[in-house]
Amino acid sequence: MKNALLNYTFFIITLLCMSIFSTSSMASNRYYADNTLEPTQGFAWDWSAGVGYHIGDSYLIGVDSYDHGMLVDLTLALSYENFYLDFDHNQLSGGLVVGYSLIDKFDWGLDILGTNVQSGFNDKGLGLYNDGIIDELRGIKTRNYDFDTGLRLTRRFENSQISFEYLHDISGTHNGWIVNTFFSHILPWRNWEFRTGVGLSAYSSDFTNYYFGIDSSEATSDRPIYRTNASSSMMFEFHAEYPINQDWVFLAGWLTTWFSNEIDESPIITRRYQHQAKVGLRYVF
Amino acid sequence: MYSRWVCAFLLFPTAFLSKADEMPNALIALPDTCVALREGRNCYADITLTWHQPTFGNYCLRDATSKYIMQCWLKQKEGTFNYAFDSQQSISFELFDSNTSKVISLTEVKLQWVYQNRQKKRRWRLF
Repeated sequence: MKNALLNYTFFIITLLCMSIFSTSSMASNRYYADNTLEPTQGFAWDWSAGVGYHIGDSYLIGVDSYDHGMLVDLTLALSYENFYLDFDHNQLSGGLVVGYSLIDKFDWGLDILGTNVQSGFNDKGLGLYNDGIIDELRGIKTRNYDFDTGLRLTRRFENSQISFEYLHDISGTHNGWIVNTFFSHILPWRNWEFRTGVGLSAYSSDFTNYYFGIDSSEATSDRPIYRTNASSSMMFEFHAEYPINQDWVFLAGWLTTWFSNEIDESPIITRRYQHQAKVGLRYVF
Repeated sequence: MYSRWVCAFLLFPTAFLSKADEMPNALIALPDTCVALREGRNCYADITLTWHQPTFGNYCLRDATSKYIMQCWLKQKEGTFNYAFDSQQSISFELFDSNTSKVISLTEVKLQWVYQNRQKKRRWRLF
């Protein structure tokens, strides 16, 4: 009941913001942006498909500490007026972001957006490589992908920007909130583009317990019941892209995430950090 | 037998005419394309401009738009110039006879880019 009221209130506030602050300007509205470039006017889109080699030390217990393999990478980026949509299907960035720029003035931006924050998993792990059931995770309930909506406030600089987000799950998955802060910087060097970012996030206890808690039906002798409070994480990433020709792009990326004690102490978490790396080729249509 | 050539001439007259008054490939740029990641960004490439002429003479190489002369050669019939391409648009180069100012050959380094949408990047997922 309380969650339904929160969702309703948030929806009304969002509609009010949209009606009051809607503008027609089209400056950059993403986490990463080279604000020295003139934004694309009207409708613009890019889509690409590629393949990459990924290696990561999963935080889930029982998963190979050096999980690796080839993965397909599909992306779609659409922009029209204040609306934008990004679909990025790979394990480093996977998911969907739908956004609308409410305010875009004086280097400040306010967006309403909907996105997936947390990947789902089950007793087969994150399901990246179609592994079978993992003994250490056997018997846990399936954790579903969430879908969260909220507001993002962004302050832009030339090649950098800092964002603050408040998101709330509307899919009924965990009914919790997420607060993100993220600082990003783009450094073009000759035809290369290097992107770095540092982020700090907080997750509600509902979010943390849904994904990392263990209830009585999942508990075993090796996996005790686990209930905890709100949690947090910090992340650092580095990404590089280089155009091989008009259609092909080489890309490489690194992502490290550190988790707070509330996540690290979960019986299904094996370490308090996760490193991921990827190299690949992408064909841009 | 001749009708095929007549048809070809009617369809592609410039191909025949250009060969008559201009030496083919007198000025070559390699690579002839520079690819930037995003539209609007400068593109960088190390371009080698090579020219050949049948007779010794005084020749100069210049930017076809700004007319800025990059290098001249005296009593030569071939030459090479290394050019550091750094531009947001395609650049044409021309070789001309410095005695007569007549343009002998023209070549272009074309600019291309991969991403049209300049607002596309977002951060990766956390986990």
